[in-house]
Amino acid sequence: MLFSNERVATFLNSTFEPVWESVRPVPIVRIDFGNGHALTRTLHGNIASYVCTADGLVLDVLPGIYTPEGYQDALQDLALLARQCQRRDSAARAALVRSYHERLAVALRNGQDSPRLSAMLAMVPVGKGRIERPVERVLAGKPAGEQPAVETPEDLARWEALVEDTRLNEKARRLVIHEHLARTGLAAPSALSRWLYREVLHADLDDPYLGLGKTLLASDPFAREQAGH
Amino acid sequence: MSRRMLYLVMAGLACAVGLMGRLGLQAADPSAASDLRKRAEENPTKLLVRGTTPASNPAVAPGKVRWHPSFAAAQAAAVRSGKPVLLFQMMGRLDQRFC
Repeated sequence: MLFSNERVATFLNSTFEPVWESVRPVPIVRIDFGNGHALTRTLHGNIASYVCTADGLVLDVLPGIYTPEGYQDALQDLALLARQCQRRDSAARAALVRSYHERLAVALRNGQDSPRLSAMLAMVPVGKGRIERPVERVLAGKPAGEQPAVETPEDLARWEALVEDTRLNEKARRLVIHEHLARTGLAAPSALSRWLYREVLHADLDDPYLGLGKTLLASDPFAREQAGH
Repeated sequence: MSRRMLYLVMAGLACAVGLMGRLGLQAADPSAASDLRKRAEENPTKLLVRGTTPASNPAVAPGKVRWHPSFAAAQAAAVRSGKPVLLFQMMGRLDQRFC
């Protein structure tokens, strides 16, 4: 699990004041094979990582799951954004964050990789090695810097799925988030979460079946008959 | 009748009364005895099911991150430390195995 990764946990503990919360119970599927074997999995679960100011306003959101290095890199940038915001009054902070989202949305719309925040803010120059962060390497189709030991084809498939998820999150999903936050400005997580889960993560929290109703129930040939009873 | 004989007769009567009372109870509520038998039969099955198909989502440690107990607590800590808040939102619970 991401938070069992020593490096990620140390980074989070030293850089943020972390808290987790549940938005709803996760669907769990249990398949009993009838021979004493049973399989338990979660279904359609999803996550979001908000970086917020001390007064509870969202600076940015990382949607979904990331590779450990991709997660750390993306959060490093957001920690930098947070430090820049601390030095500004509320009006200047709002303007900075809006500009940040607008610029990143433009970059992603143009098919570019997300530029490093340090470059955007004209901070102390960042070395080339640091610029070629693992997530950008992933986006460019190069292997991510940190890859766990892959012992089975299933491990490889899971790692490749995680890399692909990171790519999707950094490209398509972040674009939707940047466009939305550029429009709405600073807001509390409670004002964003339902929109985020519905529009970005495609898991409508107000739908008891999380959008899976048609898929799960439509193929039941006896559904109408049973509904009549 | 000697005192010893009287004592033995009284003890015997007491046992007989107790036994008859138990029989009477079973006659009045046969399910009481059958409940005992049913429980004895079902317990091994329940133990087997508990072992193979978890009925609940067992608790686990939520990783190695030092999580604040609430968003408000994280905000208060952020005011003191100057660090931003990281709110990790999810379906399910981070302190459960299936999440």
